[in-house]
Amino acid sequence: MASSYSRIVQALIACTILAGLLPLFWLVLHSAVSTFALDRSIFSVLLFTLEQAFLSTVFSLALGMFTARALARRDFLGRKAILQSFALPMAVPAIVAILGLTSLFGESGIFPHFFELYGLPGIVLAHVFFNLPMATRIFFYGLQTAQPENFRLAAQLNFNEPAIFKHVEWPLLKTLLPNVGALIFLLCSASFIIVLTLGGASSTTLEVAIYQSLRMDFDLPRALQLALLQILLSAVLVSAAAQMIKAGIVTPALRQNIRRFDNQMFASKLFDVCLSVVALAIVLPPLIAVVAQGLFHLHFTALTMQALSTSFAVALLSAVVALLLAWPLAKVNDAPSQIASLAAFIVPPAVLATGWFLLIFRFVDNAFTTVAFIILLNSLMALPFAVSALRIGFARITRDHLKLAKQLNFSPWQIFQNVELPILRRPLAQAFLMASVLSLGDLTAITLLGSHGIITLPSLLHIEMGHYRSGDAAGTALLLLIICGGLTFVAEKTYDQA
Amino acid sequence: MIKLEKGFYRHQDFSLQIDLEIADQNFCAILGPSGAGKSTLLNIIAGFESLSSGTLNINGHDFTAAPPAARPISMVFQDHNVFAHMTVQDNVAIGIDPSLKLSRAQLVAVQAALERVGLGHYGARLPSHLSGGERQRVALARVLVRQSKILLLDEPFAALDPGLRLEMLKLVQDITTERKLTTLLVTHQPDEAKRVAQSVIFVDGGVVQKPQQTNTFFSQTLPEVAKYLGQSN
Repeated sequence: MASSYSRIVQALIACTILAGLLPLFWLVLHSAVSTFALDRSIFSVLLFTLEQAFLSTVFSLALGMFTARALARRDFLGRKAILQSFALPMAVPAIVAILGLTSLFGESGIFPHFFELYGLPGIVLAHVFFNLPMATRIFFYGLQTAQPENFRLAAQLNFNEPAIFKHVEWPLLKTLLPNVGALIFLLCSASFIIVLTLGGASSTTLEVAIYQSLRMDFDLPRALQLALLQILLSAVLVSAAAQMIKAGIVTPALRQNIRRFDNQMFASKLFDVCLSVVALAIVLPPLIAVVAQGLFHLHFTALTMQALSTSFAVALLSAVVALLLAWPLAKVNDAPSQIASLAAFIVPPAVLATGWFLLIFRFVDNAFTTVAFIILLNSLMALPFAVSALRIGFARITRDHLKLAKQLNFSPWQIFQNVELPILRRPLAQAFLMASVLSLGDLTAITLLGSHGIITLPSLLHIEMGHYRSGDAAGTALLLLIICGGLTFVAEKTYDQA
Repeated sequence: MIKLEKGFYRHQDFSLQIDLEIADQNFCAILGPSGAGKSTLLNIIAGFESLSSGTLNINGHDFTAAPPAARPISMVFQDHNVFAHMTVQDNVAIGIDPSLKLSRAQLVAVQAALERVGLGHYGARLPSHLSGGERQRVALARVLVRQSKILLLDEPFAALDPGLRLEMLKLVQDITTERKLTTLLVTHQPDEAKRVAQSVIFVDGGVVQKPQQTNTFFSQTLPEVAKYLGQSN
């Protein structure tokens, strides 16, 4: 049942994507062929993109899988707290995490020579900080879908630890592994702010290289080559990760515990404890650093307040636009809708911004258009998450609900009011909160599209960090963390009750 | 002999009082309204739930705190009795050795068990290619190779069509006699109890009643039993 509303949204998204892509293709067709011989430097950028994404994915998956198993098979004090705190990194703005990491491992950090923060190690660490908790939660959820009878049977048949892993846990993890892996690889290969701030000349990804050749070097042909490579790569990755994205990238509900009867050997207890400690040691310290430093520097100057209100206005509008786009796509949920909802994954922001820049900003470049496109880009980036949350809600509307509505001769508005809205209230609230959090913490759109004097909290933080005003930066980072963390906490509560 | 003495089980608002003896080689049906605690009784005997107080004694040995694997018990659930990624043969063999390293004699025993339940040619199949009834037969074949003397059945045939259900019931009855098992069957069907059980345990109002002869049970006029059977007024 494809409504005209869904067709309009699909067409709108197609237009924005085409506005990003067509100028690139037009230029490709009108340029000399020699321009498009891939040079060695582009090849090394591609190689680094894949290398850092691969390492980030492997570490996140391996650690996440066994941490999830440790949490699933052991009930201990603080287990729920760990799982809930693992929802936090998804809400932490990239720039805030980077501040946390630099205050730990940077030049003037607490452990300055402990770790090479700039370059591959730092980029991978930052990516693991974000993706390890997500992987842990998805795997934990997967393990909770086990049939309780499987564990009873295992107990009765005297399964040892390897047997439980092989016959009960692994079959569940195995189905998730490729999808979670593809999703993390996708997110890491398109990551922008982390690579921009922690990377260097030799450690640059496609996404950042596009931005640099467009905004710094004004090298259009190079930007085009990079953009085309990036689209190719994301198209492959999105199709690989599509199943995971479809199943729901939103934070999964933590289902009631399954009773387990595992033999608790000392060695496996030790293993589980060590793993949990390692995972916590990656996730918590950057957050603690931000909180500890920020506490003494929380400030509300006129500039802060201005950035705060701008951020909220942009986030609010982005979330509203994201929901308006997401609603029909989640409701219809056919192939075009699914592709439309993934637009910003398939054609990454840097590519879109390049195209929009060529098409529009060369001619009309003022604060209003900039804000409009920042909101558009933000809502497109939040769209996969919003659609995913709403889709779960729409799945709860059964055939019987719709038959009943037909029998009672409801108008579309009455269906919305009496069937959809009551059932989707919580997923809607959750989608809205998630889209707001993503937009609030986003620095990508404003960096790619230019600021035009517009200052949001993340861009203020970026400026403060750039001018080595570490005190102000610490305060701004904590403020961002509190807002995004708080909204995520509310979204989590909403989901748990849904 | 299964003996539960002064048994008391509590979980949140739910509690169950159990004080009973079940004789060896007895086929005993467990009846009672939904949510009364029929499955809980089986789970306590199997070791998946523990008593708050009281003791469980099997053949003169105390099993109150024993882990499930240490009890001379096989249990068949209503569903999910097989591991989906394993062949039928492995699903039975895993009852002998969880690491699936079987001797030739043990493999012969597995095949014999499969033949006994009518799945002689199904060894190489995956559970997803079996019907619901066939999957429960796999579980019964595993019961045969494990050679435990007590068999607990938690509504194992509830999802099957009436004809198939009777056929499976007959199979369980035959196995019970052949192997001299003590079998406890939780069921929602009083007919099943009449057909195969020598005795009936009635669970209602937080109390597990002592087993009664099947005939005695169905001819009595206790109000809660009459209400359960739909014979009130």
